[in-house]
Amino acid sequence: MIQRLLVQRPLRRSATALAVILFVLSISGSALRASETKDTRPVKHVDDALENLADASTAAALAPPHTDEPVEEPRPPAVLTGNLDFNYVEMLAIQERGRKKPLQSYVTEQIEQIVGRPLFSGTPYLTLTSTGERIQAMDLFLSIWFNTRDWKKTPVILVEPVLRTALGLEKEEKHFSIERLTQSPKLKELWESLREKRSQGKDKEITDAESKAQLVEQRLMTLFALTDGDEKLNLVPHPSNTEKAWISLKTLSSSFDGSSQPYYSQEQAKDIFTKYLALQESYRKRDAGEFTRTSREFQVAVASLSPTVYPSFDTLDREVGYNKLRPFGTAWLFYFSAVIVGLFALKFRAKPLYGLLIATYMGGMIFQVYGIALRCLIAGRPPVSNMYESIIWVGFGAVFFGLVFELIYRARYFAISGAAAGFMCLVLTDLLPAVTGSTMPGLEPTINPLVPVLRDNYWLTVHVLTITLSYAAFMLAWFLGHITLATHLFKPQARSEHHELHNLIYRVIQVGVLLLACGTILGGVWAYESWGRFWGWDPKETWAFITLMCYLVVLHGRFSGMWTNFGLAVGSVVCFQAVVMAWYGVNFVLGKGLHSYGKGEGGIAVFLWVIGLDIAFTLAAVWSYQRSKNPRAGV
Amino acid sequence: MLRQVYKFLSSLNLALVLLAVIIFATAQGTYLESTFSAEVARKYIYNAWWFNIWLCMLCLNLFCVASIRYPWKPHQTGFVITHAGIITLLIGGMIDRNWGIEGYIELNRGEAPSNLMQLHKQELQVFMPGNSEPAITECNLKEFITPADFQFPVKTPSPNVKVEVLDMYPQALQLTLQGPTMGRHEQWLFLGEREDMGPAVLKFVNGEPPKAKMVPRLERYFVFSKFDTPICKTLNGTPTGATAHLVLNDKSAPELQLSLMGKEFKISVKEHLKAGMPLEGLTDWRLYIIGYYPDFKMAKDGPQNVSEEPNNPALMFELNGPPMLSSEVTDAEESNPHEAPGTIAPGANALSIYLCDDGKLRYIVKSRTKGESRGEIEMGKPVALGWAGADFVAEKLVSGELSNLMQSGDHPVSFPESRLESLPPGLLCRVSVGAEKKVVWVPQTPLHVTDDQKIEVTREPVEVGGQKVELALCSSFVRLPFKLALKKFNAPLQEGSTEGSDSFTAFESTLAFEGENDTVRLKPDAKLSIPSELIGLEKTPNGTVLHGAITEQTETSLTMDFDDRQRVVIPIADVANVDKQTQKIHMNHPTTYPQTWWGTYLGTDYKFSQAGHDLPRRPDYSSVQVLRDPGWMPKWVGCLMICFGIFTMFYLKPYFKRSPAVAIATVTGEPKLATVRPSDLKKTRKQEKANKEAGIVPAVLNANRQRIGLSEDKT
Repeated sequence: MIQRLLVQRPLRRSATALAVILFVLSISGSALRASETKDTRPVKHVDDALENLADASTAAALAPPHTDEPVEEPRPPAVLTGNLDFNYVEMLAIQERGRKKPLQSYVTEQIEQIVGRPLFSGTPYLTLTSTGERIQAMDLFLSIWFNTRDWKKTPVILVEPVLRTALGLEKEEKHFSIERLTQSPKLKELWESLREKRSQGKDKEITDAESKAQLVEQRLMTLFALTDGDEKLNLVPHPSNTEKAWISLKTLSSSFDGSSQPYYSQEQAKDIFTKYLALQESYRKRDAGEFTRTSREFQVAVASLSPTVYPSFDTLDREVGYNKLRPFGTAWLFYFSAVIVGLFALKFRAKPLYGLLIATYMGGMIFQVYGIALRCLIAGRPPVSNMYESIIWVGFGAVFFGLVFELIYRARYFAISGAAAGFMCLVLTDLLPAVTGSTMPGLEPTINPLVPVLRDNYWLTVHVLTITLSYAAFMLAWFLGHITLATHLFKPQARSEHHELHNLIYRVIQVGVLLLACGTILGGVWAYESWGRFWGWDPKETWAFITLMCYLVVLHGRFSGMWTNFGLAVGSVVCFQAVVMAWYGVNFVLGKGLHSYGKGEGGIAVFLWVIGLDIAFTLAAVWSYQRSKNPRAGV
Repeated sequence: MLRQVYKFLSSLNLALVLLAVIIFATAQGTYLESTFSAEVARKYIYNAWWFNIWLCMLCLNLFCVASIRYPWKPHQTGFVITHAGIITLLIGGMIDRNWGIEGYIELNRGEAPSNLMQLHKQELQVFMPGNSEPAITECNLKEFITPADFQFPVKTPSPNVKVEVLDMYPQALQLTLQGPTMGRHEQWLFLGEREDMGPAVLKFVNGEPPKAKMVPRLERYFVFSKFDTPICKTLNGTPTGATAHLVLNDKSAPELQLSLMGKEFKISVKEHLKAGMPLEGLTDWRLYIIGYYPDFKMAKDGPQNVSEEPNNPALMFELNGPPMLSSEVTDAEESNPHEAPGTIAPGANALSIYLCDDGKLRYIVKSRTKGESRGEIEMGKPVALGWAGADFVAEKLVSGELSNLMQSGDHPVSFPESRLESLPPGLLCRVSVGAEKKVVWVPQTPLHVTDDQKIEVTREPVEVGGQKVELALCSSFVRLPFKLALKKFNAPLQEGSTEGSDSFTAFESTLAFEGENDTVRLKPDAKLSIPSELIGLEKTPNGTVLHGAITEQTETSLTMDFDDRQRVVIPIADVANVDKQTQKIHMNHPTTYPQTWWGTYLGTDYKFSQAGHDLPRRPDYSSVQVLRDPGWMPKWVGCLMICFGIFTMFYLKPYFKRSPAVAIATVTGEPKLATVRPSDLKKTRKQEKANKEAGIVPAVLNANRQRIGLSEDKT
């Protein structure tokens, strides 16, 4: 194992270096947003946890009964200096929420939940206002776990502006200490009133400050859990069974009291604890060389306890690499560039510019495809199980159709629309969790196991992928529609361009209609296969049906001559509202039905604004068209 | 005239109107489902008569649109296939609506095979003595949203008896509880509800209060110095809720600390061993210490003392109290299947209110210290509760207006709307015979299958004007032509989850149709050791045969579960042959029965899929959905046609070339453009030849129209 690590290490370094170069380009970073846990833990627990924290030194300096080494008590200087190499600590595996994952994934989620998600930055970090130092996620995590600092007094918990005002805290500060928060009587009042409203079923009366207070409560609980890492982190693998529960270091140390069958022998446990204490020691001293050595030894020791159960080096490395690479963050930068280049290419019809357009476009696509493939490998399933994944997939579909059509028609419009669609989707997934906090649980990027209804079904996968691809085509048509309406609005005399665009929209809508019809029907086939019912008027399937009908109305209205090709462009914009409803609205607005496993909440106001603006824009274009219309306009 | 109707029916504008209405109606349906329930959406939209007429209109329109263009030209292939496909699909839907079957079977492991399939609707049954068959009125409780919905006519066996439905909620009682320490509480109690208030349990039930008598009190206690809580058994009378501790100050002087009726006692064990003693301050109470065991051990014939060393000191004593009024608690009352056992702790304070058959309210108050008291309730008059110096006042009995209150929203502030919605379903009915009327709450009761396969339901008896009437509300049901049994229900947990977690990865039911077990015949030289008392084990001259359910199958072994819950893992090497009859179903993996080769295609088989479970309360329960869709074949064919048709229309059209348009010489000699049917191609070619000879050149099609791809034939 050690040999393997040594051989693999340089390879990974170079991969990381490549990523770093891309990052300089992108000023970006990835973060796995911590998921919102739905439970409303009573306030009582916070108080309990506080008491525990008072003697947190016991938790920090776990004294295993089988080692003779004394644990050093005095705390080293609080300032975290010196650059430690966390590569080996990141590669420790942990079993959490039904999945084995590298510690790095877990740490990013947890730290992000406590300190908040930075905009366009790889991993979360905490900036201490007192000293101005910036502590990275893993460093912060280890410091909390090993208790190298008085975490009761350090401002570390993110408090949203609304709550800051409500609690009368400093407006310019973002983070506050446990002590500050738990001593605030106002916060306790908010928790109380929130619990009361929950228990009485008056969820609608919950104020913004109260829901934010709940977030702070969850952050406090997460922080308390982290201080108790010895007990909470399931780092020690099961000796033989890949499905069985892992245990924590504390459980390992207490498993020799004869109450149950210990996972490992005393010698093995002693070896683990010796290495664990050495790791703690070197971290406290912030000795970079020593830390690298001890962390490697600890990682190798834990991994070799149960080589068949422990995730392989490649598996762990793949996920760590995925987290660090942030493929989707890089991809949208490429798409953004592609849109800019495309607009120039539209103006100056130069061949090199067109080449550059295709190159940047393909660059974004490569990153996106790579990211989707990695995610599939890590999760072991197709990437459409929640809103986050489906947005990424739809973005990919739009980009893919854009490229195919671009290569056929060479119209530039397709490349621009496709890149814009990819950009919009990926920025949405990258930006929204950071902006909205935990209020949009459907958008969490965490990879979680599937709920039973989604498991293990061929037709399901085919049906969902087909339907979402049709959404992608309609999204492309939506962007093309906007370009068309914009040209009608700003260049009402450009007949040939209008004509070309109308034709392009028609081609894309064709693809969408075909895929949506097939996807909806495949959904019926899946439903029949799964429980014998072809069609049950479930909201999700009903809205897919409504979407199909809407586009059919647009097409048939054109056939019958009820409206002209301009109507087709307007239709491609307006009917996309039905797609939004089927895709987002059913889960987030209606929130009922058989497909409710994808349920989420939040973002309705934003969506209504976007839709309102879109309709206003469409009306403006229609008005402009009517004004410039002569009997043959637009045909 | 007919021609005009035909033209109207085949117009594209009609199609657009039809589509637009369908769009709006279904969107409204999803909104209804979100605000109320799927049943409501189905009632008002999807299953409504006008919606189906609308779909029929669409069918007709699709047919006319296609037929008016007959004879079809090659480029219309896609158009015709698609339209025909939609019609076929809709026909499939109609077949399913009329002849399809949908329901569910509730199964419990260990029960006899059942053929009882419940439907997603209920029926209100009215029985009268003399008529063996009840009058049945069908209804669907989940469809009710306004008070008008449940005012449907109820069929009765006799024209003299009338039954009306008043409400979908039971009677409710508004109470005020007040006392010096607890303040004033407004409280609503719904009939059949039990509310735990903390210091006391409140209950409001239908029927007469149980009879009561004077019973002396007797309790036996085991107290251990190592455990804080004693083991207590109430042998007679009402539980006292006393607490006791055994304290060992030093080896020789164990002390019993007893707290009874709010009084504390410290009793030296050695002094009072095997002697009754009065309890000071409590008249007629006596304590009797039966034995003291320094090193306690429970043996077969009672408690034993192992040694004189105080390793596990224990004490057994009895409490004798004066006779008290005590209700005879029936088993049925205490073991409510819908609640976790032991919600009323022995000796707890309790207020039970009974809605009696004569329409009056009676109460029983149980107090830990003062025992039991009972009486009749008068509205507005306070009744002492005997705990915390409190009393209660019955303010109002609401009978049949709760839906109106919910609907109008102007109910009192303390009205617990959310609790009302979580009440078990039922109907509040008024039975009238002549001028006399009586209100009765009929809760929905489960169907019970007797040993001889008859179905029984719990009936609510009521006597009005000397006429006995019984009402019952239960699921509608049908009997399937075959029987079904549950052999095992299994819900594996997510990786790393501990017992008691709810992170299930699947729900699996192993079903046996017609009760048939799997049979595994072992090889004569099998080394597998099988418990000899196993149910399902058969020893034959040819070797051992096992009858059970195969629940797991891997490459190396079979796992069999037996009716007595034993489980045996059989290595494949030991198996001579297997006869598999049971079916395992789980999410996305249903099974069909009876399995015929055509059933899958025609949809004539019944399909069974995993629908529900009741974990962790009932680990052996599974609910299985049953569906039969005879319209599956047309649906499936229609779907294929639609997909293929759309594809053809969009992408294959250029390959279905229009017939060459040829110029035909007319009588006047002017060439005229016309398309010709393929069958007439020979004629056309002849004509072409003739035209060539005549010096007329064929004209070219309008390429522009074809290029855009919007060309729709309008000839």
